[in-house]
Amino acid sequence: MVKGFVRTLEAVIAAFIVIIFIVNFYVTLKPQETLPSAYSCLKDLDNKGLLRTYAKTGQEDQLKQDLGSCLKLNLNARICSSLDCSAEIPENKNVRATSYVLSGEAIYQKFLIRVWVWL
Amino acid sequence: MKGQVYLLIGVLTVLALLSLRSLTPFIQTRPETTIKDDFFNLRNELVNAVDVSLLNESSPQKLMDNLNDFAGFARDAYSQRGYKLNSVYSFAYNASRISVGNFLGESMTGVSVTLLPTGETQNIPLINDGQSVLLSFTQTQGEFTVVVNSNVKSFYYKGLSSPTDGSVSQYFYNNLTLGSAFIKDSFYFNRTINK
Repeated sequence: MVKGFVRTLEAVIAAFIVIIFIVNFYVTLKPQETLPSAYSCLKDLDNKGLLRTYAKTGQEDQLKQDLGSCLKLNLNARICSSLDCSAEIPENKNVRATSYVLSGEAIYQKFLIRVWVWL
Repeated sequence: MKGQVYLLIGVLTVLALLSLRSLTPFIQTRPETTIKDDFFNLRNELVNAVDVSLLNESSPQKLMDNLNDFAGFARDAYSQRGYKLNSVYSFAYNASRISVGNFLGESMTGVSVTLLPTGETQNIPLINDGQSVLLSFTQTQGEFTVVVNSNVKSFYYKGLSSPTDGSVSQYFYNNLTLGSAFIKDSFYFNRTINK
């Protein structure tokens, strides 16, 4: 009878160890790295005075390169002066899109910058 | 089975989970654009449209055309993403030329624009969505205040500004007044602009 009790106690202790660990595992789970959003990358480029230059001169490749080093994710980007602004994106991925509008630099020129991001 | 076996299994499970945790990279990505981001983007670029227009010494009509063009363009760009971020603006080029643009997604009726301190008022019965009006007043210099009222109401986007008597989130810069919000019912705004 005592033996049975000890075995049950040991099993209960084992269960406690696992439960406490799992709870602690999720409570303390922190991301190793937090990536910025596409919008914040675009905003940074705008604050540095680069985004308007890229838009004005149509430097899409340079824009993609800068966004790539900021986002560290797969992406596609377009600089458009009209609302007809699409790009090739993978169909089987969960793609997130971001828009950023610009009204020119020195002279009035409207631009729509679209960025598509996927893992 | 002896009880120690359960203890052993428990410890092994913990070890397995620990190794899984260390081997699996956990990268968090920030959520993409929020409505607040878009509002500030629209706001800053409308201000920029005014700045570049003034820089090029554009006429009041040209400045209004640029504001209209951009407000409509931005609204259509947001609508492609499935939501409405509408705006209304008033711009005082000087005391004698004041424009009001409606990009609320609905008509504004009963609009009145009053120039203070003279009290000169102009009434516009209807400004359709996507339209703007350029008004001429007789006052040409000195301190002035523009008050724009409409019977259209709206609800403001929380976090952008405190609502006062039902007004919408607004932004004031130079002589530009911008109201922008998700429009549900109706909207009105008034504000003092000092030159």
